[in-house]
Amino acid sequence: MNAPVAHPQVTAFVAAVRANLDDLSRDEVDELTDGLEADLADAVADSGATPADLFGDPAAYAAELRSAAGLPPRAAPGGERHGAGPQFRQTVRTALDGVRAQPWWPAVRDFVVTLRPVWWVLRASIAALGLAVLFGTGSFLLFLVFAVVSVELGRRRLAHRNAGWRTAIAMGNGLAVFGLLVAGLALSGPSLFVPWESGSTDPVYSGPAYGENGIWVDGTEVRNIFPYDNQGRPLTDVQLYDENGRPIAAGDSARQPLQDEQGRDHYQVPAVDNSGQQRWNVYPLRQRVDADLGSGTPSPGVPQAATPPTVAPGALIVPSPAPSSPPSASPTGAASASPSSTLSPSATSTPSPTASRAG
Amino acid sequence: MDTTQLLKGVLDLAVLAVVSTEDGYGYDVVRRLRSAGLSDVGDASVYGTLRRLYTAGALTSYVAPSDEGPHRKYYGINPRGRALLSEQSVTWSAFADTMNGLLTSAAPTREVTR
Repeated sequence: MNAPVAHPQVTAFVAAVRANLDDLSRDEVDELTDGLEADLADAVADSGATPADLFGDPAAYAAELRSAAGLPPRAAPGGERHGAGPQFRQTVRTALDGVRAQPWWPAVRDFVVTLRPVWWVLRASIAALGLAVLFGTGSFLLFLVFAVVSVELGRRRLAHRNAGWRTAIAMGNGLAVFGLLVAGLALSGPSLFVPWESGSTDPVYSGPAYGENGIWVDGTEVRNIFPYDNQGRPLTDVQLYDENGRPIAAGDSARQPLQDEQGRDHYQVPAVDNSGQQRWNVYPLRQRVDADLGSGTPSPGVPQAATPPTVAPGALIVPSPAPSSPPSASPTGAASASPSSTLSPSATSTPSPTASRAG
Repeated sequence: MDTTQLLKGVLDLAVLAVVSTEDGYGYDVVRRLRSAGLSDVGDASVYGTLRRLYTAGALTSYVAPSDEGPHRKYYGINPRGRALLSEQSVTWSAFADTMNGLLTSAAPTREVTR
């Protein structure tokens, strides 16, 4: 006998038969109709008649099939059914039968069925990887053992349709699919699993996300900068620019206040140049503490010089013979951005955060 | 006489007998039954019987994947099935002998046809 050939009308007929068995459990329906399509296709090929002529009414055919199999007659439509959510099951089955009735379904199904062994090996590797991730130990040998067990389980399932086995294997498969999803997430989004503070030196994961502004050192944002001269003396009102003449300004989050244990807000205050512009690239930024003593109206403090960190004393620097030239690009552009612009002492100017805060 | 009614009682035995000689898939069993003379056997009845015998533990089953079309499900007999077959064979033989004897004594002048 030649291999059975897929026949669209036979496929549709089998789908109709299955629809007439839909009061049975999924396993029973599978059991009754597994291989049926090949049998009917052979019968059609043998006789040359159409499936409708050969097999008659799908409902009568289904009735004969279940009667011979020793199953009870079909329950009356709308009658009591076992299991939860019969309406939902009915909908799912109707949808599945619709898919199965499609001309392309046999080819797709058989292709997927061919891939079964691949899945058996894949789920074994997932199990081995899962153990490796959970317990930190794993080996190729473990994977091989799992692979043998998995393939054997798969083959047994094809041979023996024992309900207990099927349930256990279905649960294992579900677990494997879950593991696969987790692994997929881990692979597609490493930032989920590698926190910035992990101390990694990899610039891709330890730094700020693309588009985030501000100044970053080793994965944490810089709030303030304390420059020293070559004698180790602290400098004030130092304007910083990069090689392209862009101001090296404190980022958005550095401009937000930090709250201390007493609930007071520690603001950083930008310098203001002679054109009235705020300059966030002038360091060190001054500090202003707003005391909020529970009255609801914070009283703005007076900006004061920031205390330099004690851990970073200025060193004595040997003058380099050829100092690098400052960037020619930008500081000559806008007057306000020029390093040559004069700064008014910020202690006498009205800090703008006060205005916005009071509102 | 309608043989489909008679078949219902002996289909298990007939299917077991066919499968005991060689493993077969559904339609293959149908064809062998028909070529043996049971021309009225309904294919859905045979398929249902095969599945019931399998569920009862009298048959083994395996799937033969196909490159081109739907897969075939083969059935083979196992020790339990053979025991069932020999037991039912004895029952059938006794029954058939009884029936033949009954018909022979009841209608001695008429020709007894199959």
